[in-house]
Amino acid sequence: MAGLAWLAALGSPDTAAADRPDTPGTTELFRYEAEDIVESHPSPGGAFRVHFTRLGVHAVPARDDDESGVPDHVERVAEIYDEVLAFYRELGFRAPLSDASIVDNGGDDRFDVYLLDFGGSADGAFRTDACGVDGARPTQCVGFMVQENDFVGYGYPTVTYASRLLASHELFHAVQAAYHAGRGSVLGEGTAVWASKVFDATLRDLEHFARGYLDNTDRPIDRPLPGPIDPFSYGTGIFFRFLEERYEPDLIRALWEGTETEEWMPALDGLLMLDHGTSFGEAFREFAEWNLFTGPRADTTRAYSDGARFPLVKTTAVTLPHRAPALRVFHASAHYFVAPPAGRGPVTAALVGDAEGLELFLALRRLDEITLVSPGADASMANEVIAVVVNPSLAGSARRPDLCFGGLAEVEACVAASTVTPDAGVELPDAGMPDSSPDTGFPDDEPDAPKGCSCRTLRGDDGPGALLLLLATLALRRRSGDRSAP
Amino acid sequence: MTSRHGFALLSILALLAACGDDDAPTDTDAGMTEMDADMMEPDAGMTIEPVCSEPTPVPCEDESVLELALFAPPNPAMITNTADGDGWLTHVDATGGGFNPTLSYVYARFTDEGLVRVDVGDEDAFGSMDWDIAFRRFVIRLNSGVSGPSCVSAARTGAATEYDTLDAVPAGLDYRVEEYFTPTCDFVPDGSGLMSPGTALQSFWRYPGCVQMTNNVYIVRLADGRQLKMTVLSYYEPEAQATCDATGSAPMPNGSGNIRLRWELLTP
Repeated sequence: MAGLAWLAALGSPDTAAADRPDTPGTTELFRYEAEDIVESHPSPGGAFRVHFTRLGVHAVPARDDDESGVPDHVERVAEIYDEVLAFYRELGFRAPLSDASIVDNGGDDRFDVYLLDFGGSADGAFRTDACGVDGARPTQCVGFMVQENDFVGYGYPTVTYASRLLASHELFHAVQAAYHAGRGSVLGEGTAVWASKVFDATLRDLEHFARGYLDNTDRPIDRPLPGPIDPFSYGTGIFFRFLEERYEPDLIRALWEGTETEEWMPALDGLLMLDHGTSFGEAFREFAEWNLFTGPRADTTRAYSDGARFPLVKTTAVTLPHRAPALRVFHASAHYFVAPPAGRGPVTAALVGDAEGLELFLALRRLDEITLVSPGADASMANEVIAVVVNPSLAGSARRPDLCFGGLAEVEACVAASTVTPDAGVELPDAGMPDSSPDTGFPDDEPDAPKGCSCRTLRGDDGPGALLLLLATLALRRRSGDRSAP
Repeated sequence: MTSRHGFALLSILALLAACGDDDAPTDTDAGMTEMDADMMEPDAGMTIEPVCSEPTPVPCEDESVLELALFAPPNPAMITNTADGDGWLTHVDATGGGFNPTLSYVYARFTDEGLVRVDVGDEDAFGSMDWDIAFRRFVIRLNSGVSGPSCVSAARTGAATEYDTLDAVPAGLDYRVEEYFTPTCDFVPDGSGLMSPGTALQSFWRYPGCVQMTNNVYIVRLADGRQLKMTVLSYYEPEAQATCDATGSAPMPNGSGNIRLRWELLTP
């Protein structure tokens, strides 16, 4: 797909103009052969110039049905770029910055697209020429596009599909560079994947890449996966789709404007507060809910309009009762635990210890129907109970709570066994709750747990589980996150 | 990356103190001169003192989880050992779930019976003294510093060192613990461009386009003071490794992530 374009394009803004693929003697990774005769074709709309060659490894398909003298493929690429730019401009986004003042600029101030053979290693990239030119800020950059010449062997349904996907994704990187070229791969790739979908709903990058995020929701949403290939950043397109559908499409444009002066998550937080009366944290929690409604569990009344095309969110299967000690919950991340109720009626969950700021909610799955429920909900008819732990913070070190998950009495006993001690001043609720069994089924694997706790249980206002709200009022000493101290 | 662990520097200083002076001879007796001590390592008649016996807090855990893509469940992958003279030929399935790993590192300890897998996942490894070394893909970590609570260290021997003829620990080695995060928890990559951690053993490979073996020979010093020589033979299946080493390009498929190493305890 869009390859490693982001890293290549926006990794390090600078003011030194780069070579173009047809610059004599260039060492650019993707470049024409010295003997290639490189021609160009201006787009009908006037904003683009498509560079191509007719012979050699980089040759474009020769077909010229309209006998214009320019290969049809080249003409089509030019038209598509015109269409994409017009669409982004209609949404209110800036056009890519002009390369008029760059010496090696493809011949004029039009945005240049070079058609080259990538040999299957990638399919396109936005490349930066220079930053901070013509009075722009040092973080605003101009550049050009390199794009696969014929897509032979790439597996796209049609060449037109491939061109529309590449143009909409990679040109959006050029648009981004008109705002700020250094806001990271999540915002860069995530919004480029989103942009392709908004441009043409039949393009499938958003669905294709969504797994990259939905398999890794326990990572902070602003931290790409390490390594040379990062499906996570591309996969965060689903987050920007959420923002578009839950709030408004214009939020993404406003977000890019906001990134001119601050990182994207604080910028988003400010926009949500100013224009929507909410916050990043509240939005992220709702995003975590939406991600339960995907694949066969999609519900367009509760979540994504195209949720059926997204894969299921990755969950951790557990057996109730379950205790997850010192769960590592990063900022802007979510953990999903699922378990069969196994004959239980009311179920609940609690976070014990270092749980400040965390959110916890429950859902039941019956067949493909997901229902968000209050603590203490009757799970006897459900196939699965789902507990979701969310850290809606913008930043900060990971929280390390214990998670207790099970029946009411089981969770009560787990909480007690985890950290609560009599001298901490905690009174466990007992009204209406079954007595704790001496053997709760939870392994006592932390006999030296620190004294005292802070506890966060499910929010709820009815049912026996509400009694556990007592624990949520505790604000005692935070559990140490250091498990390896002597 | 920003500093989020003000205690990190103190922790590392404490770790170094707990693990002793890496440049000092590990064991001498009163009758030896300083020169004597510099020129030789303990033999069978000398007592080997542990380098450390208590765990040291591991700094930068959060950053490790994110930068190394760590997981909680143990990796059940196999380790197999074949006798190799007085040492071992060991094969570690370090595939880790693939190019984008989905599994924990494979944790192991050096024993008289070979390299033995330790059933611990990445998260719990931060609190475990039971492992010496961990493998995933082309990354090999030691249990020390930012990697684990123990004090296992390693030193690269001279470039001309032959594994087969090395029968004692050379003097003057520069032992390294794991320091692939700075005291302020900024990531220290290996310099290859692959953004993998700059570990103590990272120089067992280079990357001209495939993971090429350097054939470096290392001395690994365990927490109990014993030392061993070690060299990594391959990252790909042996035939593919030979191609990579010779041409700078690995064929496909190539069995990547299968680490084969030779090692032998040098002190009893």
